[in-house]
Amino acid sequence: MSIRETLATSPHFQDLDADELDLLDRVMVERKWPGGHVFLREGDRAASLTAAMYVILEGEVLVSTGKGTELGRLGPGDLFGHMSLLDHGPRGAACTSVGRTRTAELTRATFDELQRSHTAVAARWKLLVAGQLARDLRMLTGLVRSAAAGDSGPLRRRLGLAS
Amino acid sequence: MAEGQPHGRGLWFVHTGALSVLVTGSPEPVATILPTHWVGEVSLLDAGPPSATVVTAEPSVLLRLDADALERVRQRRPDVALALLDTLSRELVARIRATDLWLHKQLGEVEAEAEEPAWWESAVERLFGGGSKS
Repeated sequence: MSIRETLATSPHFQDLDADELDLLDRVMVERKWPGGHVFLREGDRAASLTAAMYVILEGEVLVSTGKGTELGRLGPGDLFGHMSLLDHGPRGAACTSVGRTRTAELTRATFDELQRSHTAVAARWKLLVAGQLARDLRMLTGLVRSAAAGDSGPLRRRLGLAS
Repeated sequence: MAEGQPHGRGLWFVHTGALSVLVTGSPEPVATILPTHWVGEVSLLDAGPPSATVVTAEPSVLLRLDADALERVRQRRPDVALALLDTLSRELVARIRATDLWLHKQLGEVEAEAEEPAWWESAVERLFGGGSKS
């Protein structure tokens, strides 16, 4: 699928209207990757010029800790790389392509330009990213809750460890 | 707002007074929210139910921002919406990083030996402490 089609059909981006989709389709860059490509390495700091967030167009991306423990898998329409673009902090997890993968890339430089030239669209994008962050935090909160209740099973399953 | 209930969804900014954050399983408030801080940004942004119960600890004046109001701000003053979302996003990222780190540490402890439950109190406070800038 194209960038526009992927954004239009992903549940994470359902609020975008036609003009916003057209603009994002223009400014995001489509790239192809072989299997095993490391997009982000845990602990890496996002260099200001190369920092980017990605939307998966095709293929699968493995999210893992630095020690290789699987945290989850992402597919078409999913977003990653958005955290360190916001706070310039270290990458929280490693992201690696499982097989051949296509992504749409939005660099920090492009997003900064978008904030100046198309402020309303940039605000919409930031709202969508903030929604993803809120879901991420809610998921982690659930793990803390169950661990606090004395059940570390969900946490261990989440990290791919035997209960 | 009440834990798990859609009523009261949205961000509550404390102008004057104080709020107490309560969660199931803890008899005491896990956090107190003071003026210039806020609660409820997660349910504002992902439209899910509140993850804690928040009550006034004393007479308070609160400012509320729900999803419809945020959308109106975005349409009329996108620059203001950008600044607001920037603040909320950075706060969320900080809490995600802190929680993630804590979960990893905790997992190491869980693997080594069964742990006493005291560890979770500070983590819950960090999670539900709202927009505390510490």
